[in-house]
Amino acid sequence: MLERISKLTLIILCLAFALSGFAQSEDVPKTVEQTFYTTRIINSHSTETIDKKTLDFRINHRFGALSGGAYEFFGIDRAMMRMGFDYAISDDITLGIGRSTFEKTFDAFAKYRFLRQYEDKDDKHPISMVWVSGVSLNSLRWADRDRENYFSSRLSYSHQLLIARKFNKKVSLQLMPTLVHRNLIDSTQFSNDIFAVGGALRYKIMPSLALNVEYFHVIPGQIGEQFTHPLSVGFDISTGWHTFQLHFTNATGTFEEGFIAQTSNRWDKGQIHFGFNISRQFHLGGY
Amino acid sequence: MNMKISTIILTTLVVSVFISSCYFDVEQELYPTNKCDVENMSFANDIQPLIKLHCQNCHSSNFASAGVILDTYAGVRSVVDDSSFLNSINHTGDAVPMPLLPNAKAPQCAIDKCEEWVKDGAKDN
Repeated sequence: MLERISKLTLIILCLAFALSGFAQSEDVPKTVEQTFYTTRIINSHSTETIDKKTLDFRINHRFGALSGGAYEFFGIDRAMMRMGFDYAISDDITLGIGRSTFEKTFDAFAKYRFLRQYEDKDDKHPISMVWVSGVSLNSLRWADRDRENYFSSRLSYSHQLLIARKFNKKVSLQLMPTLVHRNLIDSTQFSNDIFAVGGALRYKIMPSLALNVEYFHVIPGQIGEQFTHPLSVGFDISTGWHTFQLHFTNATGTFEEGFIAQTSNRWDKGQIHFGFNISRQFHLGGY
Repeated sequence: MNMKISTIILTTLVVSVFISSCYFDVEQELYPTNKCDVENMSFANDIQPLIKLHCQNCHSSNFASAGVILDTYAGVRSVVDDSSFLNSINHTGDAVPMPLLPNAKAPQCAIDKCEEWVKDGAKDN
């Protein structure tokens, strides 16, 4: 299995570099900007990256389930959040770290945009492509301290290829084949590797307001029956340096392993969470 | 060109670290003798540590969410007596399913231990 992953990663990386070389060798006009407003669609990364030497401070907040009713003030009494810092070492490479209250998880990721969509007449560069790899560390106390526990059991990984196209000023689509790997799982009934395919739509309603829909389909049989597919619907409100994202989602995880492999709430049961992402960018290196 | 080489080195490093630290462990196989022992449950030794781990972040004397206090025997006993304790952890009945966030159940062994303790009379032992 390990060999298979290595081969797959190698092939995708080769493809990535080949494609990026191809893109740079052509004499092409302007790149397509703002396929999405920000670097996240709702939970997932988008193909957008921040500018070189920019620090992006992000807070992703998810309240409790609306089904908690008036007593729980429709979820507002409860909250989970991820606080994170993304830093761009180049216009195409971003590194990030974060800490989520979900299972007291630390996470880090590397994101590389290796292909860009261009505004050329014959549509020779129709898509943008980004590779994102992340690692997350669950820092909950061990459930059983008497047994021999391993640090590796705390780690999970995610690898995603993001393929996006901005069709026109209003509509953008993104496809996200994803592999999540968990070092430790409960039972042989499930799988350490979880394959999922994500899709996202952005529809711009007004110049600074857009509707986003994001869905991940987890290939069945890899996770427990109590878990389901994460579906999120939200709005982006852009005000220049700030982007506010307001959304409804059945996922409470705010990192890939959390929302793809551990979403247990269901839309049909009203277990929907209101949430928001706030982003504030700081230029650290001048212009 | 330099940028490209550094990108390749960085990517290779990241990928190697990720792949070298990949494990395919399964709890059932890693801890084959790890059976759930539910004999002679003691409040102090067995139940209280579980409640501390899974419940007391939100239900303690200092932070009594929904008025539920679970860091004292009396507090636990009151939710045992009105049946909300077992209903909450089993996600049954009208009680709010707990733990609420991330809204997943506690491990089955923890639930089994609590059920056995309640069945034995929920003693302060």
